[in-house]
Amino acid sequence: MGFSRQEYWSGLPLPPRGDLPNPGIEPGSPTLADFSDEPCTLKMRFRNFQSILSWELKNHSVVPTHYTLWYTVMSKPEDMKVVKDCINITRSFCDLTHVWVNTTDMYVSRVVGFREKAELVNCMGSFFLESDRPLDPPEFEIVSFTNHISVNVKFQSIDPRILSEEELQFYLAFIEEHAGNSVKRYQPQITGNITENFNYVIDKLIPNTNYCVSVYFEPKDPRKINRSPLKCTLFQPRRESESSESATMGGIITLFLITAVFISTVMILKRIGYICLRNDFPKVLNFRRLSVWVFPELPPLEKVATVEVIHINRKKKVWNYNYDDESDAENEAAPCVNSGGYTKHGLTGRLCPASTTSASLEDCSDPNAEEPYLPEPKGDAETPMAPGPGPWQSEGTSGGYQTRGTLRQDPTSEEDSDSTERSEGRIVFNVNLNSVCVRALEDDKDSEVTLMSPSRPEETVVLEDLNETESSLSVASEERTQLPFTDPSMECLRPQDAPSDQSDTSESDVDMGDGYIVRQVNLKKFN
Amino acid sequence: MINKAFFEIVLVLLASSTVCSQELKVFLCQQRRVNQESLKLLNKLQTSSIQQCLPHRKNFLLPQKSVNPHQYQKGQVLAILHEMLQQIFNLFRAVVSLDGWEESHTEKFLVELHQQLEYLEALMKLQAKQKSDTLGSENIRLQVKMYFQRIRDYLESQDYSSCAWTIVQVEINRCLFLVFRLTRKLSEQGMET
Repeated sequence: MGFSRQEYWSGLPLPPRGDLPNPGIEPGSPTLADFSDEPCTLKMRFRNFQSILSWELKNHSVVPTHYTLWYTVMSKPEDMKVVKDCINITRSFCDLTHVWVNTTDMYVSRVVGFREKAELVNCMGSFFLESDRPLDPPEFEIVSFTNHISVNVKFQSIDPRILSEEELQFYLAFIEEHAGNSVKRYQPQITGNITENFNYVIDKLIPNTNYCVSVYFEPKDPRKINRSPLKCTLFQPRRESESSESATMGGIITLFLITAVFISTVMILKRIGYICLRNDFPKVLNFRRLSVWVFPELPPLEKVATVEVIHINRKKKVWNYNYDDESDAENEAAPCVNSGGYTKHGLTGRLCPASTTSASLEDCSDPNAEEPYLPEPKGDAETPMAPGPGPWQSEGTSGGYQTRGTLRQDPTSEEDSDSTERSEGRIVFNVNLNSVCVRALEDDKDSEVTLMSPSRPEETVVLEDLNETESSLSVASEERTQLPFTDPSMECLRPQDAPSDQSDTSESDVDMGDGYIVRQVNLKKFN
Repeated sequence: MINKAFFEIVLVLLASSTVCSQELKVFLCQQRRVNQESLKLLNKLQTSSIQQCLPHRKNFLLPQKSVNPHQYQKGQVLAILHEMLQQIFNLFRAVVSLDGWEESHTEKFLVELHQQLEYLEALMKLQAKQKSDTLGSENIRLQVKMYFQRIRDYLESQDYSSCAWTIVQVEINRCLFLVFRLTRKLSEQGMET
């Protein structure tokens, strides 16, 4: 018995015709064919969920007076049992609801007819209840509404041994018939208790047509369908209701569309910030409630110190990397130039025209100030001043060239400017912090204000800086390898005034004393 | 934040559950057809033949309590169904070749049974992907196997007589309706899970 199913289909041998008779099948008959040699016919009926076995004699000539019913099952080799309620009964039917309970068994019944204790007839019939139960259709009512037909099915109380709920579910079916010979079948799902009434709604109906509905239980054997009689109703909805319904539907749809459009517009506007823009600041930024008394005086933001600016006017040449000539010129012009090639510039407060720009300058007493600077010393000595040359960006910015340019313009500007603020003792002019070290007057000599500026290749200013080391110098050294730095702590970078022939880089201990800004130039030799 | 793949996962789960329920419905419908075919075969039996074969009845001890669908999980039920249907198929095919039964109806029955087995195997593949709970089903499979072995032994002992085949056919019909009950329970459970 180990054949596979595929092998079977490859070729089926023709079996020899056996000697088993092949009777014809009569549809609509009970389980087994009705034979002529049987004196009576046995039928099984299911009415009101009761199994009733009835018999009918074929030959009405001999009529027994009493009947006794026996039965057995096919699955077990048992003897015939007698039905207790159907012993010597005169009626020709027997209620077997509670006797034949096992629906999967095949029951073989035997009816023995007596007449004055003489056995007249002996009929046998076998029944398989699972298939042989053409259930009687339940009673139902149909009600026609405006747009649907409601079918109300009434279930009587069922004996669960005959028909359980799940079995009933698979047995129920509807028929819907138009007047025009088209049939639709619905199978409702029964979920609730089977004893309750069941209501089913048939919609999608064509108006002004006659609908007939039939309810039946569909057993497993489709031949045994017992249809209920049709109940018909004329589906005739009102015309006005239809038009009003369509109008209301259109109105509802239009309203829905308008609402959707409106909501989408509002959402888009909110999204792009056109409306309902959030304008809530953090709490700390909310100054309305904050009284002015909280800050009676301004906190000291900066340390302001007065400085002296000493202008040294020097003729400057164009920075064309021709270092040979410039060194002499520088040395000649700068009064503070050391012999070692350092240029010292002092800034005095009384002096004057500093850089070209927006500074209001006084007339410099010394119009030859090379690079007038007005430092703006910061109170915090440690803060790097790399972003210092902010206001001077346009003039004395990064390149030494540009500073040169400013320097050249200085004499002219100095001459032109007449504004003096000498009375105030205060000069405001721009200083290129890239090229200067500043030191506050009040501070110790040892303290310094260091400037940190982005390194320029040509700006290698070695300044007297006592304690700080700047990384910018090292960066500059990378860029300009020819420029050794004597003191890596020097930070201030300035345009290279030193001529090329100067090879020494040495610090100059330039300390001019009070109020002077010391600038040390690292003169290099450029070849 | 909801995971972006969350919606895809939900869609896949819904689709798979729909597919599973659809497959179960198909399976159930096919089982009904199988049972109908079996009944057609049975309807060919005559009362006289049944009457004659009454003394040849035998109790094959169908494991009815074991086939109670309430106590098994889905995977085990599928295994039981597969075993039963496979055995019925083998039995019919083996005996049909021997006996002179009407081919068309028996073939119809076997065709429907074959289709049902295909659906069942597809369902089992689906079930195997989800979980593997077929460990407890070995016992019941063995019981089913022994039941069908008893049937085959009986047929052999009766020399494949027509009466024996009638008895066996009645028994198989009974078995198929138990299978139908199992299938129905499975479809109800499958739609719930």
